[in-house]
Amino acid sequence: MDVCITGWRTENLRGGLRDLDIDLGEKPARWTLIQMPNGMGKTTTMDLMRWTLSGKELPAATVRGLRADEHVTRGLFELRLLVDETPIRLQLDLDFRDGSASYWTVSADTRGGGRREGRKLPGELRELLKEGLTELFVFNGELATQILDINRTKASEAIRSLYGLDILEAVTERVDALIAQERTRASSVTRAVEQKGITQLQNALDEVKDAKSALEKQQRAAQSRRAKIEAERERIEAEMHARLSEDAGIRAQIETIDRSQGEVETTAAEYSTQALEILRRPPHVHPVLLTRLQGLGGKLYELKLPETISREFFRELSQQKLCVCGRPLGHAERTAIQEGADRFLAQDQISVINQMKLALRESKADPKELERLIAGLQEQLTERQRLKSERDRLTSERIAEGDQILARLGLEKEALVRDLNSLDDTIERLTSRDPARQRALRLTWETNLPQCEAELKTRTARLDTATKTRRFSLQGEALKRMIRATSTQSLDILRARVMASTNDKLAQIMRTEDIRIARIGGSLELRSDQLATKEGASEGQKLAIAYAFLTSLLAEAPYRLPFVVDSPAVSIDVAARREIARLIPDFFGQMIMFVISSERAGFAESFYNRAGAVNYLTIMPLGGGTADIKYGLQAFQEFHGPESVA
Amino acid sequence: MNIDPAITEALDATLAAASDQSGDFKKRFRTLVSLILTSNYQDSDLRRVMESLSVQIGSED
Repeated sequence: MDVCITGWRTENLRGGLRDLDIDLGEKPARWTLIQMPNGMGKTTTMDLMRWTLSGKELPAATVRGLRADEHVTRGLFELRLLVDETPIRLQLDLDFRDGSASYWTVSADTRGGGRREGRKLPGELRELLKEGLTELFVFNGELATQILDINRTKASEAIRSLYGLDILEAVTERVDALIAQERTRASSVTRAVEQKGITQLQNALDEVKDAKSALEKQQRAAQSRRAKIEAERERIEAEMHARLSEDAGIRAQIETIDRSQGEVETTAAEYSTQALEILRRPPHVHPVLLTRLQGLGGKLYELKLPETISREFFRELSQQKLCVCGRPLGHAERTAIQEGADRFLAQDQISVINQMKLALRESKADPKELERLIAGLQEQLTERQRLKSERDRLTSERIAEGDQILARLGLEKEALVRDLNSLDDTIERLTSRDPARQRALRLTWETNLPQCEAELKTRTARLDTATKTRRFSLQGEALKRMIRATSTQSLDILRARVMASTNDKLAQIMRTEDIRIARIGGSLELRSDQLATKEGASEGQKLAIAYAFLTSLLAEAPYRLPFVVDSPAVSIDVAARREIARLIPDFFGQMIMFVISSERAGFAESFYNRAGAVNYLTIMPLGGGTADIKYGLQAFQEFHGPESVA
Repeated sequence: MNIDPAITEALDATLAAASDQSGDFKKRFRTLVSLILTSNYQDSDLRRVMESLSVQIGSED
């Protein structure tokens, strides 16, 4: 991505910035030298550029400090850019009354004048242009010292910002946010997301699984035992039956009882079937139900006709000479039919409701029928009980007459029935699904299979959720480690690359002293035989090192950014100036240099021989905060500001 | 935007060390890094890459 500055404009700002418009042209020269005396607003312009590019929030005192005078209430700084050949104007709007500042963007491709609030830059550029990074290319002179300060991390921060490693590492915070979201979502099911909690949930699940397995085993054992006892009971009953049948008189009575019992069973089954059928039809169950359903049918709204097929009927009817009732139809009747038709029409689905209504109205039933069936059923049950008593009486009499075998069989049968009852209780406790019975029997998941299955489902869901959350959390941690590893390794490689490139430049600039970067940690760590003896690098050396570092950094960066610098050579000796002026400019696609007249010697004059690609501006104060701008080399060379050296 | 060769080299080294991860994850991770560096990723991209990571669930913290 290529970014270059095509100009800037100021309104109502302090210094020489009351009304200044610097136009570098649609295709700016590669190098621009702007000569202006101190006090004309160089430092302020640099600040305004950084703020506007980074969108920095400005304190009210800073905003008010920019005010040209007490008569103005608003101020403006506009920076004109070309971003990949697309013109974009970033504006900083200043309100001196309340000390507020707002950023705006003007772009040609936007409808309605194209002025929108905020920094509407391409996404990656907006992310890139943070305050720390803008200091690199709208060069803050203090940075020259800071990148060499071992207690600071400006050098590595610069690399991280420019290559997007800070953005890469910031993603770890989004990973944390996603994990937090997942945990919040899962917290409605379980709070266990760490391994310890998951182990507890796994144990809890295993406990229920074991319980279920034990209950199923109990159920199988009870049912198996019941089947055996039932078979034994049937065998004994058959034996008792055979024993009784040995007496011809009793056999005849038993046969009579058997026949009667067969009839009772058949009749009871028929009554049960009929009663169930009636119970499925509410109007037959009880007279109150019938009355209420018929009432509901009456309350449903007026019978209506499906609109699609019925509207035509009313239209045709209104055109007939006679009504369906035989009376003649006049104009008034025809109009009434047509206008009143809507009252009887509804959506086509109305036919379903019509059917319901008709069904309800026509509900007819004899509620006494169910009563009769139930009474009949009760009679059959009574008869069955009577037949059983009759059979028992025959057995008792036989035993009373001294039939010891029958007596023994009777006792064995009673014992088996007791066992069967006990097993039925056990099976009910194990298998009952009726909540009322479960409560009455005080059943829990440990004693009742349906409850145990429900508990198993709950605990499985809890464990699944926790495991999923746990997995997601571990995946997030692993991803963060990989992102950090990538970032750290990238930084190491970039440090080595930038260091090698910087040292190449230093070798050319620092010809009188062998200063090299030994390591880029947080800062640039220098190596030189002479540094220790003179307690560090001079101001000029620091600046030269900073330029070498920044040009190495920016020249190979994924973004082509302009380089703007204020008084680039003022603290450097003339020999080093020439080297810097010879080396540094070629590393930038665009370089804007604010110079004072004293920097012409050695530095600015080195550009005079660069053909065509240099733009010279000379800004002179006119008084009252206004300025005159002269373009061209001649004015630049002839200017004698207060800082001018002989 | 093309990823700087330095970052590509670091990415290669990181993924080479992740021998337990699938080719699908590695491909997704590369794409994600590219999207992040162009400020063009969404949470859903991040989530998908996370979910394609293979982890051992049984380990204590």
